[in-house]
Amino acid sequence: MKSIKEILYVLSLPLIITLIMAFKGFADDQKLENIKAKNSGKSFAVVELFTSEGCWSCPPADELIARLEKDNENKKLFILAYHVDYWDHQGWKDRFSKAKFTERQKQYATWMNLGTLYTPQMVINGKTETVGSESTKVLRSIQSAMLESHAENLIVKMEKSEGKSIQISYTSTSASKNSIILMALVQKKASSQVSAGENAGKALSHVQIVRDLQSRTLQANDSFSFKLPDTKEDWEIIAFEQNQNSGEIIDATSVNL
Amino acid sequence: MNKLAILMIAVLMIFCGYSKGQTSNGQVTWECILKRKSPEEGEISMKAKIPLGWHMYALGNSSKSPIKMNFKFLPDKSYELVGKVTQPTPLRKFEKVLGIPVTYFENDVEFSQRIKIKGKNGTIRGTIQFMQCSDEICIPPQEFGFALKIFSL
Repeated sequence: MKSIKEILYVLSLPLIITLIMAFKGFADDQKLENIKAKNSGKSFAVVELFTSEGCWSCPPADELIARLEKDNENKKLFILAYHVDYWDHQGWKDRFSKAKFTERQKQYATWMNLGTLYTPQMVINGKTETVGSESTKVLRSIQSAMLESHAENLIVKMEKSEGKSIQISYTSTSASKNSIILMALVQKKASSQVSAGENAGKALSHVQIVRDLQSRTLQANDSFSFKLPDTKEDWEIIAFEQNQNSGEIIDATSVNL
Repeated sequence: MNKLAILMIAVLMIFCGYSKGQTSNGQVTWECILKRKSPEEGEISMKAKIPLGWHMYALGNSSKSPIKMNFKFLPDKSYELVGKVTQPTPLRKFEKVLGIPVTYFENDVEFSQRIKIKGKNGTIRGTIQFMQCSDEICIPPQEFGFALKIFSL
């Protein structure tokens, strides 16, 4: 009698694993829906992806943020995709890459005590990091970030828009010391025609690409100037306050241009 | 019964630990030695150990791809290079993102560079730039520096 039970236990193991795998996909879709639903609370999630067109393991992470962005009704979900420059060299360049985005990733490595950089890396609210293509982990981190309430005292406003030049001002009542304010100029959508040899004509599509990032010490009010690379595209400014000692993001907001 | 429960938990823990191990212990390691065939002839052997689940790109990939893989040897009076760095036949796959085939290695690979030894004493200094990826992540190009002493035979 006992041995039959034991056999059943052993057989149940692969079955459980299969069921977990099947459930995972379903659970991810559910999480995605929850995250993208209207959010009237005082919580937010700043999702920063470090990626590159030259990184083989990155497309699933790019797809994940595209899924998060599509039909999103949560105004407190801020997605930023930074293209790092360490895959670039003579003969090959990701046109969205910038050295300062790599610097930002290095800064996170310092804050989080990580031994190495890698792509795709996803950082949520400056506090947790995970492999950008591991959808379950990413979505779980976003969900738990959405459970925390924040003061919500950062307000941004577009002051001026003349052709390609724009000026954005902010006011903040955050009392925290050692904080900086960052503003990211984000291109909502883009597709890159990869020109390399046999790949000619193939398009890679991206969402929420950071094209410029500026930061200064946080004050009660200040303003930032940006130059749009192209007026035909859709743009957004994502502004957020970050603690310089821990890397934690204290507050975030955005404005469409 | 209890033992079985413990066993099942242990098996599940192994599954959990596997993916984490990929990111923290996935470093390619190098071992370089100088093989002497005669007082004048030598071969620099550069062996890479590639951890399970990872691959390292081979020499000879398109310069229009982001792959960086190269060997540099600092010129010195005591030796001169004979030919180029050689490698075993690499694995190939078609890289969808780039739309080009790429070549790479798994497990172990030995690169070698033949040299002619001119001086009695000297040091061969070089750097290896390499790139490694797993199915999930890519690590920025890394450099490994080495110095090999030439002893007189």
